[in-house]
Amino acid sequence: MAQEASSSTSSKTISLKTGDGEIFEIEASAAKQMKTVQRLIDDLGDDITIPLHNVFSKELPKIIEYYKKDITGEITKDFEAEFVKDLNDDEVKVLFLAANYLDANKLFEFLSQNIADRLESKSVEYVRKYFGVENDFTPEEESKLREERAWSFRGIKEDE
Amino acid sequence: MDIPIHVLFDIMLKLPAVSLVRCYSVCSKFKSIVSDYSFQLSYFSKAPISIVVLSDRHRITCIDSSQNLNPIHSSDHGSSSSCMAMRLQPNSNNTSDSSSKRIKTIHHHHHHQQPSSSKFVSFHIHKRMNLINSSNGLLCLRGSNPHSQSHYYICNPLLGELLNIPPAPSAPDRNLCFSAFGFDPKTKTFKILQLVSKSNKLVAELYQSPPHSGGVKTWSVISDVPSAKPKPNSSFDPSLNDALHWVTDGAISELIYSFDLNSNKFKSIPCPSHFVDDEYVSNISGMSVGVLKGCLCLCYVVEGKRFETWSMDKYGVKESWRMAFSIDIKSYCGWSPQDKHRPIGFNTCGDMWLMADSISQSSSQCLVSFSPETGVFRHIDIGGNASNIQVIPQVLSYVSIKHMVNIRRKQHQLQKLSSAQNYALGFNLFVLENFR
Repeated sequence: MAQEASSSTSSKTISLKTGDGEIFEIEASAAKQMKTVQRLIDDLGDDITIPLHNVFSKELPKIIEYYKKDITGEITKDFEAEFVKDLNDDEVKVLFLAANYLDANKLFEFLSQNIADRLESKSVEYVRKYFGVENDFTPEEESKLREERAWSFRGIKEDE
Repeated sequence: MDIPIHVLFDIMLKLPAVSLVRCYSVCSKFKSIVSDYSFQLSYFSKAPISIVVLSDRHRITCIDSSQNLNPIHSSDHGSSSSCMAMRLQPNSNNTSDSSSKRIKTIHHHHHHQQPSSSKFVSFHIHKRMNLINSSNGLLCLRGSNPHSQSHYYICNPLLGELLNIPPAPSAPDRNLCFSAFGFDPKTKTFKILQLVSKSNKLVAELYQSPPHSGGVKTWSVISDVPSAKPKPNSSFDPSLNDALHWVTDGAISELIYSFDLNSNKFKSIPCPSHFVDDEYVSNISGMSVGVLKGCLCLCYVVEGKRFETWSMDKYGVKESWRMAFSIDIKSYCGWSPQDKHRPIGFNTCGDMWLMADSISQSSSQCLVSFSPETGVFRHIDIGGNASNIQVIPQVLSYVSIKHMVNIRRKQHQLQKLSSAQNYALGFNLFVLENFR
């Protein structure tokens, strides 16, 4: 879904190419907020299409949308709530990892808080699956750990 | 694992204390992160401020304030905050004219409660206690017994742990002017200061917990005590920047005093510049110090009409005092300041918690939060017997006392408290059973 470079704007736009070969345009000022992109621009020049191997066409438009709002100073709590409202936990994680790769600090902070909020009352099993970690405790170790802190396991949401 | 460790670290720093307790059980990697000393230090420096309530002197309850008590997320949220809020005319620092006393009463009916998400924890303590203060995740209590020596305790109210401290050399309750505690997570030590009046002179006694390298110190007497006597109830949150603070009845240059926990020395803190003379001070009542967004703050009432909060943006610098907000008391009907409505603390966003007389039930107290941004007061219903409560702000700690503090068996005993049943009405307290 390549977007057309808008020739009517006076500010410089940068072309970004996702890992799956699609091209998107962002303003130079937005690119500054993504330190990885800025470093690539510094190395390769701003006339070249910047390759982003680890970011894909599903996430990049969302990220661009966020920073478009950021440049105009319009990021509010309501905007942020809307931004993540329809995303499920895995979609947020992918977006978050993209923000990490791009070294986009503001989005990173916002999404990490959102993930923490989503995980707050999830079960231990859900958290393991979410981060892709194995339960490497022996059954005795695990039951001891749970027993010591049994009260903290109440009130956990049922896994979806 | 598809998330790099340092990134996982960042997410976990934003979890509330109860969730971090559960993280010990996820896998060994998670366990090592939450046990990691630098993670804990970062966590304590960023964690939101919650509330601890001591009711009837023996029941201690932690209320995780991240969502529920924040009045900004008000109106239709199914939060457990309460029945009635009042909106002030949005506050400005200009004198409000008397015609702007428009008060809207907003009634919030009890909404469908959120699924209980582990935000409240309650324990019984076997003796009668008083809350002293909290510092960096730990709480200090004093046994309430007018005839015996002062027995202090350190508590982790989230995990239900209580640590005994050897008794102070003196002070039955009536001679005690001020006591406070400071905990330094970097050195894992804490100190308790008590100022006692003996034959009309002030005596300072200090408890220092054992340093890591050995040496058994208990209580010692500190010399060079200021003569100005501490005002009762003048410090709602004394611990800041490795020092303890309070208000005295002395001259302007000695109105605010501090005790430096590193040097064990007393020092006065300069008042705001507009405190020019004794006449100004005589028009002020209810002066108290505390902490607002990491800065020392001063709260007081001017001429019975206006409540002001000043913040010392640069610690120790007289010129850096700045008015954070003021409230025209007349526009909150029925609110009489001084003892009746005392600030208790400020949350991370700068909203103020205060104790107030209950509007519906006389001789009963209630907890109120005030947001300077919106001018909204919110009555927080904490249920149960509300006539004898003490409340302080606290950062909840998911770490056991035995890992936070160096303990010496000879001096200290760590006890586990029994969980409390919750029969309170109206507030989303959840029941702990079979704890440990």
